[in-house]
Amino acid sequence: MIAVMMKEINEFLYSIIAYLVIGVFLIGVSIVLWVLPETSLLEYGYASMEPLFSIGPYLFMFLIPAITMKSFAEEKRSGTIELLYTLPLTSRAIVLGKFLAASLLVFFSLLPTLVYYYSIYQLGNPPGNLDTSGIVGAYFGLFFLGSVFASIGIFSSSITENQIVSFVVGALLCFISYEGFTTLARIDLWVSWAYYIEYFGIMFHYNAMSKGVIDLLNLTYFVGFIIIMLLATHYSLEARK
Amino acid sequence: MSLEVINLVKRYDTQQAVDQISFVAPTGKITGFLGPNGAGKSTTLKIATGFIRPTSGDILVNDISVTHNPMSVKKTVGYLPEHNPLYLEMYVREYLDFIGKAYGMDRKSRYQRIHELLDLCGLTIEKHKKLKMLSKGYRQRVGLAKALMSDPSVLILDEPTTGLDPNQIVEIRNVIKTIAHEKTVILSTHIMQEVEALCDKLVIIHRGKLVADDSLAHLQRKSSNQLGLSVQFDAPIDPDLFRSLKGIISLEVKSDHQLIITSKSERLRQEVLAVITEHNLPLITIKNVGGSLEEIFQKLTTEEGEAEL
Amino acid sequence: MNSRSLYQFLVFFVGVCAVFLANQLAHRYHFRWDLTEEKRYTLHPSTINGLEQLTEAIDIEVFLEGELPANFRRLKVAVRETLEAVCLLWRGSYSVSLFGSSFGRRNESEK
Repeated sequence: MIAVMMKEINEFLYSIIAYLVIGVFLIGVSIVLWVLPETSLLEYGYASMEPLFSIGPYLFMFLIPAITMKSFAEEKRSGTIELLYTLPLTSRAIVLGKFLAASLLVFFSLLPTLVYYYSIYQLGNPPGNLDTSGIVGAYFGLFFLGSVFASIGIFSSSITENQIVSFVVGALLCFISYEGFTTLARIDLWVSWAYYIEYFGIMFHYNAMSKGVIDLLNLTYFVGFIIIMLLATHYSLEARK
Repeated sequence: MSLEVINLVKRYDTQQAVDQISFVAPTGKITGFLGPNGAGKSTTLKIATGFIRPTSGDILVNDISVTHNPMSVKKTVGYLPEHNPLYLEMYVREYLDFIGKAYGMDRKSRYQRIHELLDLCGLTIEKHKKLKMLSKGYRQRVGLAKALMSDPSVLILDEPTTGLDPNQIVEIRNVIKTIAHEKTVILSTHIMQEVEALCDKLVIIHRGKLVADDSLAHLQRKSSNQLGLSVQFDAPIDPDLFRSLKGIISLEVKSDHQLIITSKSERLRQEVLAVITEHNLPLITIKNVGGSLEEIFQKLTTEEGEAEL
Repeated sequence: MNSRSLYQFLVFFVGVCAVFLANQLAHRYHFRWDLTEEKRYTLHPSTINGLEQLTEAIDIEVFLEGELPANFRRLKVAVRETLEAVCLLWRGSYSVSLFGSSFGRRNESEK
């Protein structure tokens, strides 16, 4: 598992896509946080990192599938999947290694945003007038969200040989599982089921977490979502044989 | 230590890729695995390495079943897949290091083994390059080094010399020869010279079916029992002149200028020449046909051939 | 489907079931950890206690609209969240009208 993960990370480092994704994410977040008048913290006048956590999912939604689109699709196209699956590595180790590498990249893309935390901390009046532990909780939420998107991306990469298809399917699945259920729940037709429908969507759990409340329910949901996606990946790869 | 294929069947949706194949690749020998393109060679080898699963039947590698215990088999097998897929973004050493890690080798033994292999496969001068910078011949060497990384007791090489120039082919063959001692080697190919140069044993399949399983020496002896001559003339001749020859098996009239005569007689050439001089025929060329492995291969893997054997 | 792929499918299926079960369990043994400084998202035990005893219908109307300064916008979000949390615990029927949007529940018996 570690071997596969290290290999994937090295491949990220060799390819421009990882730098591009982290770059776009940071630029996007910076613009939202500091430049756009509607969301800019300087205009807002309130020391909070809330915009990062509300824009984060929408950036991740298409950036993470861009990271993971290669993972299995490219291996299938170039035939290296045969190398991987004839080495003494279990299918579980391969899928998990790839997933861990992707979520590690998510982690590294979040690290630089700590600079914003520091800036906002200092800009507060008085300095330090910021809900630190709430922000820690929200970071957890964003990281889990990124990991869920990574597992979706890896799954969509395992069903095709084509990176573009993988990217489009991945981004679509991310969007549907993030917003789709919440939107669906608003339809009056099944109003008594609304809570349960919303429960299936990521947004419901992410919003709860990004407030800085860590709930066992949300945690099991995120971890469960990742497990299901990785199982589906495993299944789609095994079914091929 | 050997590789044993037992009643192997692999069916894709409609196509029968491998149909009831059984053979043994003995230890310490190089087994040539032959067949025209699409005969099912690669499928068989992919099953042997645990990449795909057979529809029925099994392959035993050192008496371990690949369907029941693929992980142990993968540990003992070194594999060079067809077309030699590589992680092109990686560096030579890095790639081999990754392979070593996958086999669970510790850092020190990986380092040592990589050093040995770079030397053995003649990669030392290229060791700091990215794989995509290497020429095809060098890539093939990296593929071979990869297959040897864990010092496996069974080596499976799927068309190791395709697409290489003649010098490179000789080099790769030499590497294979040096490492083959005490290992079970299966080498798939459709090039006959390769088999003659390297292999001790021959397995030929055609359309998923086994058509020959024999030692190289035995097959050669078998083929030399018959002698064929192709005789070409400058002007139309009467083929009936040759029908009266002793021990003649067949007389094939290619055109009124050319004949192919096969016979059991060891003195066929002299006899044919005698007829020619007697009738003063305008001879252009006389040459041997048949008898080579190439001929056997062709015979076994074409439609007519199937019926004869 | 041969036995092998059936097995693979079963692994997948059992995994999915296990995840659903885990979520059910998490529902039952509810545990939350409010990291915010002022425990903004946690109702006080006595509030919860009080809410659980009340059964009559309530109507809540909140007026908070227009061009608001930042701190009032935050208040708006917080009010909404708190009301949602309260309404989840409310036994009786309720209707909330909040900045133009409204939500609510009518008990069957009242129909």
